Amino acid sequence: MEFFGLDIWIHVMNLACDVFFLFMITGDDSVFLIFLCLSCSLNHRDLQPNIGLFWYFFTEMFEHFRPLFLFSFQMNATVLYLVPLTIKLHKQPIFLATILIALTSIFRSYPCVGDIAFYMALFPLWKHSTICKSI
Amino acid sequence: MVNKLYSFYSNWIKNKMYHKTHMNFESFPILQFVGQQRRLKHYAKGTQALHIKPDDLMDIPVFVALAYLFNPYAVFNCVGQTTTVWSNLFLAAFFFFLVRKQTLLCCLCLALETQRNFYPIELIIPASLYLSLYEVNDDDAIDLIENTTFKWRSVFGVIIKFGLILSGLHIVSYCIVNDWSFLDSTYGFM
Repeated sequence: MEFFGLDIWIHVMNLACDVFFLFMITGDDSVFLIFLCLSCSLNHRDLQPNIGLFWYFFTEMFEHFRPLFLFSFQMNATVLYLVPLTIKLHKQPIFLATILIALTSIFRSYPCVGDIAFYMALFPLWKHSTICKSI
Repeated sequence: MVNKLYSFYSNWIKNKMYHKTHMNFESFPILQFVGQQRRLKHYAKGTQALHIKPDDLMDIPVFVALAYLFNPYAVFNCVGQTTTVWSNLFLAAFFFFLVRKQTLLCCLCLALETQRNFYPIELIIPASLYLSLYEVNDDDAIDLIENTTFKWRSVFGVIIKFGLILSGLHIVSYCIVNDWSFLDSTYGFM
């Protein structure tokens, strides 16, 4: 970490945490709070059946488990695969991007067949990494 | 018709490659191929089947185009008239500018896509890595396959640029709507 020195980053993060908890305690419904709670507010409100994984799980479970499963499902769609794959594939970023697009378009809360069409179009880029025998 | 299209594109790419003495690194397969040829002596024996062949440079762009345009899912998408076509457009433009190392345009496309749908925000990590990769000398290379490395400074620089563009777009949206309710309608409702 040679970016402005590490100590400044610690100060910035400390300040952000302070502001966050201050607003949480006072309960002031300001714009700033909306920005800070953006990650917490990825609610899954529409439970109509679709091709995704979320809706059936969320209709079946008990209501008081909802925040827990909301967090785990949203983490599954975003950061869970990001960290290990980035550590392993940091020298092939385009391959990493291909995998991440595929994973998020499957695990997102309201998927669409168009997302699947897009990541399937990226598969021929990695044609050389499999041995295809012509029939 | 497919054959016709294929031969047209392959001839076009072949001509393009033939007439250019200095290859301009226009497509990602060419970039990969050049990188492979440079490090070929370090590759294991018996892995020739997994190497990129010169034919692939003409095939892959055509295959990518065909795989998208003739995919039944993409056709369903057009029939249903979803907004996912915009999402796909922004993602395709993101890849286009990423391979050409146009940092600002690449960040702009990803920010537009992130405004529409939150999940692709994680693509900023591979993008920032790709934009900050640079080559080192053969002697300094840590692993044998690739002699590239990156700087933390430029990775964070790209992420900060992306954050600035994204917040700028949010402010523009606020100026248009005069209300922050669009945040809850897009990110809250996911």
